[in-house]
Amino acid sequence: MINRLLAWVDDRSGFGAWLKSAADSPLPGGASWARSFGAVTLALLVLEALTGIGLSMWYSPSITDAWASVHYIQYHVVLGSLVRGLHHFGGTALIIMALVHFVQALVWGAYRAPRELTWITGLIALQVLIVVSHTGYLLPNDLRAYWATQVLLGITGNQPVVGAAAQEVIQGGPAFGNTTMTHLYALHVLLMPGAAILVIGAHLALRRRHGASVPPGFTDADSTLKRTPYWPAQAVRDCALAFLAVAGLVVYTNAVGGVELGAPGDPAIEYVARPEWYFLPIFRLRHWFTGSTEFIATAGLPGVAVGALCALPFIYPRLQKKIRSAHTLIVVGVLGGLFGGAALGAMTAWEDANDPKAREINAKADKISQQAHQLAMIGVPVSGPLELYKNDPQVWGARVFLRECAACHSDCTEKPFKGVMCLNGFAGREWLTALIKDPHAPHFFGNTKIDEMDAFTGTPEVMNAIVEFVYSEGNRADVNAELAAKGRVAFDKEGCESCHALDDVGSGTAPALKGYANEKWLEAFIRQPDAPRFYGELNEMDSFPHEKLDKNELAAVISYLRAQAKEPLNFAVTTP
Amino acid sequence: MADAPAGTERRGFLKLIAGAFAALAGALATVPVLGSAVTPLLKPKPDDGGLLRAAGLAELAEGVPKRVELTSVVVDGWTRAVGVIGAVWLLKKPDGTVSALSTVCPHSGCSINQKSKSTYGCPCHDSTFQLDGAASDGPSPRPMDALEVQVKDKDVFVKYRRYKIGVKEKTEIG
Repeated sequence: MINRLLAWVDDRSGFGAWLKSAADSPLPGGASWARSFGAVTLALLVLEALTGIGLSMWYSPSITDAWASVHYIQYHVVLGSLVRGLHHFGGTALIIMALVHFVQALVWGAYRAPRELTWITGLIALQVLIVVSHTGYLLPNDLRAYWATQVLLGITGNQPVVGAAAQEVIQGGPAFGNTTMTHLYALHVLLMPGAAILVIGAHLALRRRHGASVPPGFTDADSTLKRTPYWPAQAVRDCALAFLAVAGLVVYTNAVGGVELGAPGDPAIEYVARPEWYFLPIFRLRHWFTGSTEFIATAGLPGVAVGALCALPFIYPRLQKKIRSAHTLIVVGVLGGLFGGAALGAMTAWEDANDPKAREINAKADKISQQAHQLAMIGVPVSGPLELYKNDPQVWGARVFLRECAACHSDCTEKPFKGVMCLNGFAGREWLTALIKDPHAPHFFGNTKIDEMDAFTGTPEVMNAIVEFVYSEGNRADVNAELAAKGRVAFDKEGCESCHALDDVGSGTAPALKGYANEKWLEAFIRQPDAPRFYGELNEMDSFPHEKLDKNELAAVISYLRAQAKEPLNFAVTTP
Repeated sequence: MADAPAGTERRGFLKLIAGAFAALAGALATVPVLGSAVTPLLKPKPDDGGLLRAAGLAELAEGVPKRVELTSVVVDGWTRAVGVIGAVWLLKKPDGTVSALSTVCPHSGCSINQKSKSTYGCPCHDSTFQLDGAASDGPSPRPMDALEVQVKDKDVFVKYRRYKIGVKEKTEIG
C-alpha cells in the first residue's frame, strides 16, 4: 500500500530519480570531514528555523511587551529557556560554521571557475545570515539589545547621502519605538530568512550543477582522483557532525543556564554597549574613524572587503598569468584579513575585560537585571517593563535618585570625590560618625559653602552616644534607647544644640535635627532645603516642589534614602 | 569480488548510522520546540478562585437587582493588570441573604440586562428570566448561572466562575 503510494508519487514527481542522483553524486577524492562544514551549516539553519518558530509562538514585538514576553519564555514556558538558548547559541554556531565553510572553500580553491557563482552566492548568504542574526540580537530589548540598537541606528543614520532616510525607514518612524520593534521583527523572521532561502537555494543548486569541489592541488579534469558517491560515506560524516553540533548546543545551553536576559532596555541606565561578536572588528575600527569619516569603518572597509572577495574568481586568472602560486597568495591574503579582523575584535574584548569603569557599569547593570527579573516573576505591568520598578519603592527610589539627584550627589566611590554630600550609607551610624569626625571632608561639606561646623574631638564614648541620639531621631527600629538618652544629654553639653535646634523652627544657623532623616523630615527638606529650619541662606541644593518630583516619586526617594542607613560605608573619609 | 558482500554490509551499516544520527539530531532540535508549544497542557491552571468583593451590603435595596462588575488581578501571558473580569446581578432577598447571578446568558453568552422590575432579559435572543434566575421564556437551555456569595461584615463577596454556554447542564469552564 505504502509502496504503491510511493511509486505513484515517484512516477508523478520524479522524486526517486532526483534523490538517487543526489545520493550518487560523485565526490572527487572521496568522502572527508572537511566536506561536512557546509552540511553542518545547513543543519544549524534548520535548527534556527525550528527554534525560531518555537520562540515566535511566545514573542511579542513591542516596547511594552518584547522584554516581558522574552522573560516569559525564559522563566514560564516549558523548556523555553532551552529553546531560546538553542536559538541564540545556535545562531552563533551557525555564523562560525559558515565562516569555517568559507575558509574551507577558499583553501580548496572553490572560488575558481566554474564555481564563481557558488562562491558569490555563498558570500551573499553570509551577509544575509549576519543581518538575520543581528536583528535577532536586538529583539529581546534588554539593556544590551536596547543600547546595541541605538548604536546601530545611529551608524545607519551617519551613512552618507541615504543614511538619515534609511534610519527612518528601519525605525518605522522618526524615533526608536514600537514601530522599530515590528520592523526588526519583520526583518528577522520574514524578509531576511526569505532572502536566505533564495540565496542558499541558489548556492545549493549551483553546487549540484558543478558537482562537489575538488581537494586542494587537484582540478576537476584530474582523472587520477577516485570518485565515491555521496551516500552513505559522506552522509554519515555530515549527519554525525550535525548531531554533534546540535547535541553540543543542548549540553552547552544547559551548562551555562541559558542565555542571559538583562534588565529591560532603558535610556536611564548606563551601559557598555557592544554589538554581537562578529561586529566587534567594525566597532574597534570606529575608534579610528570618527565623525564624517565614520562610514569608512562601518560601510567602506567592510564593503571593500566583501567586494574584493566577490571579485576573487575574476582576479585569480589574471594573477595566475603573472604569479605561479597565485592561489597560495590569495589564501594567505584572505586569511590574513580574517585574522586581522579577529585581532581587532579581540582587542575590544580585552580592553573591556581590563577596564575597571566598564566592569563597574556592568556590575551595576547586573544588579538592576536581577531586580527586574525578580519583580517580573508575577507578571509585567501592561504599560511596560520599566513600570516594574515602581512595584518596589527602594528600587524605584534608586532610579528617581539617579535621575534627579545623582548629578550633584554623585557616587561616593568616585575619586577624587567632587560632588556634594555623599549619600551612600546616609544617616546610618557609620555615616554620622564619619560626618561628625570630619564635616569638611569632600564627602560631606568639603565642596559646599558650609564651613561653620566643628569637627568633634571628644571621646569615642561620647561620640557614639551622640551618633545614637541623632540616629534615633530617624524613627529607626534598631535604636539603643539607653545610649540615645545619654547622647541626648551630650548633644546639649557638647554644644551641638546651640546650632542644631531640636524643634521644627531651627536656630537659623544650621538644620534643625528633630526627627532627622525620618520620612517627614526628609520630605520637608527635599521639598524646600533653603527653609530657615534647614540650610537657609547657606543652601545650595535645588528645591523639589511637586512639579519636579511628585508625591509618589518623593516617597520612593525617601524610602531609598532611609534604606541607606543599613548599607555599609563604601568610602573612606580623608581630609585633603 | 570476494569482499563485495563485506562492502555491501559496510554500506548498509553506514546507511543505518547516517539515518540514526540524522534522526537523533532532528529529535534534539524538535523536542524542546514541541515541549514549549504544549506548555498550556503542562502548567497548572491559574487559580483565580478567591472571593471578589462585589459591593457593600448597604448599596443593595431589598428586591431590587443591582448589576456590579467584578475587578480582579488579571494575568494574561506575561502581563499583569487589575481589570474587570466579569459582572453579576446581585439581589438582596427578604431574609437578608444575597444571591448573585452571572450576567453571561447560558444560551449564547450575551450580557443579560434587567427587562422589567421582576424579570431579566437577554438582548440577543430574547430569553427571559425571573429574578431568582429561572428561565421563563426564550431559547435559554437552563436558568441563569448562580454564583457562590458570602457576606462578611458589611461587604458582599462573590466567587466568579464561567460556565459552558448552549447546554442544559451547568458545567464549569477551566
